[in-house]
Amino acid sequence: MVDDEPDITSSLKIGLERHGFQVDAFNDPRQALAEFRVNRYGMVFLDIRMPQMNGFELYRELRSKDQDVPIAFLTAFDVYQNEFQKVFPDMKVDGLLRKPIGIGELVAYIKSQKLPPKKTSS
Amino acid sequence: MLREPRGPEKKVSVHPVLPPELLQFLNRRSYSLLIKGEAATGKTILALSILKELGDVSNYLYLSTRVSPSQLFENHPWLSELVKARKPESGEDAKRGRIQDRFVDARLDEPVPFFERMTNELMDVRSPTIVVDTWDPIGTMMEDDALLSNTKVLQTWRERAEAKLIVLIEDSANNTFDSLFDGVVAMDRYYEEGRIVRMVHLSKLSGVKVNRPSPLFTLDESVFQSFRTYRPLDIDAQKPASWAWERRARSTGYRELDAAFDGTLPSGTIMHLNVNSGVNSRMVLLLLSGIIGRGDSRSRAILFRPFEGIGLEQARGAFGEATPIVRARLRGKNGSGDAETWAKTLKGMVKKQKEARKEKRLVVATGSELLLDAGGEEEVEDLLELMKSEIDLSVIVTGSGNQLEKAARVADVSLRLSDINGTPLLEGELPWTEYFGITAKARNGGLALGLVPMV
Repeated sequence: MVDDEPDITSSLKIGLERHGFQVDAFNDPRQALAEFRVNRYGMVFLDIRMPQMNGFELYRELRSKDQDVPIAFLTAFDVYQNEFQKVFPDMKVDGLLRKPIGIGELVAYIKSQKLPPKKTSS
Repeated sequence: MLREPRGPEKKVSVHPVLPPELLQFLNRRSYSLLIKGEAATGKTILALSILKELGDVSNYLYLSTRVSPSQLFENHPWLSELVKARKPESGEDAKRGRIQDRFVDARLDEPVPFFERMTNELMDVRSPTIVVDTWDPIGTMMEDDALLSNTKVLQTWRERAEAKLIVLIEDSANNTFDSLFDGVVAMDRYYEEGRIVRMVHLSKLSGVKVNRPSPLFTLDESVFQSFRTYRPLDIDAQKPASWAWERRARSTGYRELDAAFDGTLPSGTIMHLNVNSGVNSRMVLLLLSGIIGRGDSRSRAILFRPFEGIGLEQARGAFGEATPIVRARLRGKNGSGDAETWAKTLKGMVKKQKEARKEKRLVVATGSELLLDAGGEEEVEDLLELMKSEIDLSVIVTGSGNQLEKAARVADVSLRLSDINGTPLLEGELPWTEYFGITAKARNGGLALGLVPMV
């Protein structure tokens, strides 16, 4: 979970962990990139607007390391996948989730992705 | 009514003046505006002027694909005011580093990172103003279909974020995007007898009734300032401001003209004002009231001869009740005595005025008949000699159909008052000047005219 707002990352991390997920939360996208390991995560959530490195830049860096990890963006508005893909046909984005998002909604989204189990550590 | 002029002495920062219809359009909560125009027609200045005039100073993104932001600031020094005027950075803004990113150098952007910057804004910020200056480099890097598709999608996102999207394109003949934008304006520039004329065509402003589709404008001081039309009745309803004649004895009354003439006018100046057809006589009088002066009038008098349909009463109304205006009549005409020349008639009038008060400054306002009916060459010479030696300022007003040559030949200064699309314009023919847009502002219960160079 990468978002420059500590309030958001901490509340989502706590909420997801209550539902049995293990979560690494980062407020600095550069730190997130440095600590990213292939096959470590089952899902990555990225904020788009971050000061040191925006979500799109971080996405590119992560993709260069891992072609397969599912990545979803958190945005402030309803943006639909097909519209997004028209502008960025080469981006393999697995979801566009609207902020603010509730824990229940986030959990439902993760479960809908039928993710393969990954080794996790925090 | 007319564009508000700058202050007369104090140097103040110039504010943009946008056409009222465009202003109304820009007040929408969300819109997309396409600004079209060849290079150097004023697209960038219009976009920056919109930002300055209307933009939320803490919530905009300027993507420049042509020049660097530092170059923009150098070209338009007032931009630093825009930056200074920004609201104090909130903790959130500072944290997100948004302020530093307002003006973005996107010259080297490929289409993907370019769209990323925009979507970045549109997907995470409420009601931003995004300016793309210009779209052309991105267009050249993408297939037409892809570009069109992306533009459509961006419009959807723009609506969702209630954003304001201003896109500039240089290819003014390209109408591909017109239907995708709520507003389309085209910047135009042409030359008339070597003088620059700038015009903005308000081709499409959805939801706004456009009364004046092609207003003129100037880019004076790197700010977009449109000229507005004048209504003669408005001029009639207001009393001109008073000013001290003594302080501006030989000024033209307009600092811009004084500057163009490299100083003020010497005593004895003969000024020719050529008025094009279509210009209302009230505008002529209002302009002359600035040149001839009004207000405290004890030490001056106007010798007046009706011209171009302007009679004594109208002149009194314009030049001020307190100013003695003496109607010049050619004595001896109509069989009432020996016929005299205008030179002799005027000489008699001057003598009478000077006897009443020696230091009195005299102004002559007349049509071309004074010269045309002056008599032979000697009489004309006498008349001119009198004007040069005894009259402080002689203004000869002619219409476009009149014989101009004589007035133009004897004049020290020759001005032309014309009208394009309802905007009154003044230009110097002798000496040559660019067009000046004529502006008016209510001041001290009166109406003060100003001149703004159309550059």
